Amino acid sequence: MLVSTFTLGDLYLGIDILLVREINRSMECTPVPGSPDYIRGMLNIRGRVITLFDLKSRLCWSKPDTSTETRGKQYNVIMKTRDEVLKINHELAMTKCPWEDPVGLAVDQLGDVRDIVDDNILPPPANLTGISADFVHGVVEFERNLLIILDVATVLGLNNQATS
Amino acid sequence: MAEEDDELLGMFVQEATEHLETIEPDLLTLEERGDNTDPEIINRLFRSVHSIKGSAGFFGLSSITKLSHTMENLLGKVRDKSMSVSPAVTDSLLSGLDKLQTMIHDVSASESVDASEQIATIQAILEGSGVAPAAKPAAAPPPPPPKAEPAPAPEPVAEEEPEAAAAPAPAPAETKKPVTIKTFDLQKYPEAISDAVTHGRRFFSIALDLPAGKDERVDLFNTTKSLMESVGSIIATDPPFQSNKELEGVSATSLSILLSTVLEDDLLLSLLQVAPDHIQKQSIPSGAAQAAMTRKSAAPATAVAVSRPQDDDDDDDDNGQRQKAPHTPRLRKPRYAPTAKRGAAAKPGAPASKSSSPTVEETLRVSVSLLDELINNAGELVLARNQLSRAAVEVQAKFPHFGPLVQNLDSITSRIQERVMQARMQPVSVVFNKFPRIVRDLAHKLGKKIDLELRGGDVDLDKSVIEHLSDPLTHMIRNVADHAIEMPQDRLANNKPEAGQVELAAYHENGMVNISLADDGGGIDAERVKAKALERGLITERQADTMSEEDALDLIFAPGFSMAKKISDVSGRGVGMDVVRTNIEKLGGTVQIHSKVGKGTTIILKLPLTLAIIPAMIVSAGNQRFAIPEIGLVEIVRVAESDRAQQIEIVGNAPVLRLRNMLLPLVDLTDVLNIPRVRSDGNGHERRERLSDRRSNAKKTQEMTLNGYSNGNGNGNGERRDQPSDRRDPHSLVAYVMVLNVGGNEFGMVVDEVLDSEEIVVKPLPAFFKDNPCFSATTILGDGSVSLIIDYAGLMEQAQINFSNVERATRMDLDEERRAALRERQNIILLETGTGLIMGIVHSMVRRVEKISPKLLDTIGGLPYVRYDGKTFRAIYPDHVLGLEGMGLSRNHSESEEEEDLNLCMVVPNIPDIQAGLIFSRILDTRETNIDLDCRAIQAPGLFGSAQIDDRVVLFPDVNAVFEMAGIRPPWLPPQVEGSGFRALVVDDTPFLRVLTSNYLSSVGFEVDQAEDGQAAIGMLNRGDYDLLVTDLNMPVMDGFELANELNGTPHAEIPMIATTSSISSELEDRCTRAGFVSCVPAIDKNRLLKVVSTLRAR
Repeated sequence: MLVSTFTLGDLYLGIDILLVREINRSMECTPVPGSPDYIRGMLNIRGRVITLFDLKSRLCWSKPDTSTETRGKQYNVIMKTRDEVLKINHELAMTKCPWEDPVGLAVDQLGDVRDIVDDNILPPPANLTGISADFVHGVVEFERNLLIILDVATVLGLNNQATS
Repeated sequence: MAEEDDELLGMFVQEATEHLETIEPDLLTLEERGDNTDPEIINRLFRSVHSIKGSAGFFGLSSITKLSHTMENLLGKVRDKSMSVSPAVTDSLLSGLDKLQTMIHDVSASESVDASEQIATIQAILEGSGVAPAAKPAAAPPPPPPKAEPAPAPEPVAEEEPEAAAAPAPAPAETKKPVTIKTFDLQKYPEAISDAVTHGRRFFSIALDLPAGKDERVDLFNTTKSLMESVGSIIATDPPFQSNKELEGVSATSLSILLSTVLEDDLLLSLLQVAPDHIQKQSIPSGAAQAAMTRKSAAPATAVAVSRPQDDDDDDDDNGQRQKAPHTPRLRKPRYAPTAKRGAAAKPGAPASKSSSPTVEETLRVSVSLLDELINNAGELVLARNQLSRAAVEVQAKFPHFGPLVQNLDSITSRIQERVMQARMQPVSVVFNKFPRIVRDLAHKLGKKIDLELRGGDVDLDKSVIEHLSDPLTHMIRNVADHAIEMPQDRLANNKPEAGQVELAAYHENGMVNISLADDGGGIDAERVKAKALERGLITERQADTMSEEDALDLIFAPGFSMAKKISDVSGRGVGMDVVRTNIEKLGGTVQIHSKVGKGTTIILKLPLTLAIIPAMIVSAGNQRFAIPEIGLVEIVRVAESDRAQQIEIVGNAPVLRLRNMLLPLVDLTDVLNIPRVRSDGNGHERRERLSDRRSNAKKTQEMTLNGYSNGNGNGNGERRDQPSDRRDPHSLVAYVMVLNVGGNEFGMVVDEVLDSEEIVVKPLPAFFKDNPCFSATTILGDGSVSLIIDYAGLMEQAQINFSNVERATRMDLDEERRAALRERQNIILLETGTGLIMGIVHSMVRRVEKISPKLLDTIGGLPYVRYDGKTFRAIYPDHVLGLEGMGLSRNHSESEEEEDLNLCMVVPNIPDIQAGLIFSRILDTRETNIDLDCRAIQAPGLFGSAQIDDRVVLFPDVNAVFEMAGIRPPWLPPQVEGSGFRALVVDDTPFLRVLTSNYLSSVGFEVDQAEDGQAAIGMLNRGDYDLLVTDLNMPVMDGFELANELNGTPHAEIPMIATTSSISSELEDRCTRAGFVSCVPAIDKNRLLKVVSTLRAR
């Protein structure tokens, strides 16, 4: 499978490219009062209201970094919605894409697109640091780097079993 | 493959649902008109049921097929007039329809639905009809036709194949005969030919071997028929027959069917599963085709009409098929099917209008998501256009052609947006049409008679509104049927038509759509509503007493309220009208109710055309912008920091705003949403605080000042911030209170700034925020940023404001308190005369104040006049008239001459038909203040008295008297009143007005006594005899109504009572009349008061 990769602090992360709609440079977003820290707010991309998750805060349990300087250098990975995925891959939509609203994830740096053989995907090792195993779909070793493939549904809080 | 089936099945459901929608009203018509029903309606019914049956058969949905088949049989009888329409017939059909609905609603489970009861009922009717039972009997049925034998019958045709001729012979034994395929004479079916030509169909003659058993025969034929009809249409059969009964009677062993279809023979073979030798292609005779075409184009309608009546069963098949015809291609290309279907369905009512008719309006079925996407993009286009327009301003300087281009784009964009929005509109009939049935059922159940009339079904509303309209309307209709409409005998006794008349109408008004439900039933008795509400503890006794009729009627929308004496099957559980209101308000609409006891009730729903675009105020709170829907926004009050202490206070522990005569609970948006409050004080420091802090600080400050501490003792850190800087610069801290109305309750939402009013495009709230009750949706603002739309009700909930009864009562009491505090407040205008005197005139006495240039002053016949606005006003110098010049402060006239020249102002009084004005040199101030009127210090005719305001003496002239003294009288005669020898009691809590009213009365001779409230008045009445009572309505302790109430039944009730009020309305006048007042007059209107008095004297 093709994986779109990016970094978040020290983490090297990847998402199935079929789930990714587009990637934008970070832009101003409207905070939503009363929402969890890891939801940065909403942005408008061509008339669609996108809910933007602060991935770092979500994965690493850290307080979100609100400085505009840090944020300005980030990127937003905008995910496809379930309906969009349905058009290209029925099974994927049913199993991996429970969200129906457009969402985006704020990440630090963009990486390459990697082609990964499914067999190489391993379960998350017990000593994985910096990220809760709940959010990890699997890991792949890459040039001595560990590429963590995200379980996006869980990241978005849509997998009941994993959110705690 | 499975998916494809699903898709087809989905289409079937959609289509069947559409049929069901037409079946119901048609059945109701059938019920109403009985045997006189337009045959076309019966035909349509038949066709609709028929096509449901056909398609269901195609999908192997045997339950649906069976039921619809039975219904079709019955309808067939009705259509043939072989059975007359009785209630039993329509009832059975309606209940069958309901079953069908259930089954089609959940198609996958339809097989398990038990419809045997319905089928049995219908079957029983069929059997009992006297026209041969539908089932077994072996005996040959009575000769079928009351109808003329259809023309295109068995006529053997010349070039008929040899075997075919044998067909009609009664030959029971011939089971193993060689296949006989009859060739039909296509010339006989010109429309079929023209149809075929236009649609590229072919004709086939198909032989069907008939089994011996009559039942099997019918079954086989029906199955084949539905199969055939799913791909084409049956034109004729040989031998011909009209019903299953006749089919049973057909003695031939083989049936030839003439089918017209687009399919090729091989496909047809596999579909029908008949042997190749059972099928024969028939080519269209070229001459016939031509003839058909010409005929059609010459006069399509006539051709249809002429050829119609003769064929009967064929006709139905034909019609059924024609509706279904478009399905034919869907076997190959399902995608096109709905399109064509829509076209056919567009005119379900059009009688035999053939689908071949070229004039069918073209419609497309488009998915809502596609439409929404279009709308979305149209919205974006508008945003982009706005941005471009802004940029264009600069560009245009360099490229002059650019402007027109942008303008063009501008208008196109607006048109696109408008059109796209229209695409979402649906007629309200979508909702309305289900009510005739509901009303009918309810009427039956309740033993009442109700005629429901629908009007304005073609009024369009946005789909989103339509969708949410059904439930509230159903509630309302149920209520009307249950509560409003009386039993038939009661109606007759009251001289009303036996059947209750209910009208459901939709119409446009003020850019909204109104939906009104009017009945001529018993009406709602406001007193009973009050009693009920009291009983249920929804209001207090005091509230009940003072409540207007309108407010009382409004109570039926209160949660937990039900007027039904007992809980019925239909309504009375106290859920209903409140749900109606909530739902309608959710849609951004309002509900009004009008009722007259014995006459009927009208409920009006005012709805926005669409929910997709709403007008909203953009406000800011804590540096963030929010959209507040304008619907429900009553007003915006600006509260400057300097006034905060007076206007905002803490009751319990909640901040409230004093606004006119109510206390408004306040919610600070920043607090409720818990967003950081960022504001800079005078020193540029940002600080965060809460409304209550700010408020209490301000109050503390004030108290301290009152206690003699001067400012500067800000040792408490809170106080320090609030004091000097705020006072010096009132603009540094200004809040806006958005007064919002939620379900009849008002509350104020405090925001930092009001930025703009915009038409916003509503976009749904992402699911991640659904838990937050404060927001209802999102929108994109003009600059492209996302903003949240505030949900008032949710906000109230979040802020834990609730207007429970107890609190409401306290609010009422607080009102009372407040009224007492404010009772002496008057809005006055302070003016300075040319001689430096300061005069005060009550605001309501003044019609307008004009600035005039002294050049406009003129002297005509020795008297000063002002030419203004094309009219001539007599100029009156109040100080001259009153003889008070001498009292003026010694002003140096020569010095102030120039200033005066520039600054004259004329006060035009609020007295009808007087063309004169009081001339002052300038306006000093207007203010709401307590007038502590002193009637003794300075006395002069035409002067009420004086008062101290801001350490200055202000004189209060009696404006009426001033004019009279100046010799100015209105063209009409002043009321002739002779009051001498009579005693009047004036009751008013405001000393100023008390004096005013007393003066008016004493000027015509009355001997006047004064009382300051109702309680005091009663005391005085008990002590002395009075001939007239003039009372203010709003008073502390005991107000005017209470006084009237109190006097009722005592000897004092004989004394004529006149009410005075500061704001008069027809509603108030009504209320006064009911309370026993002779009349109600504006507090300062001398003429009106005296006029009323004069009518009394005349009596």
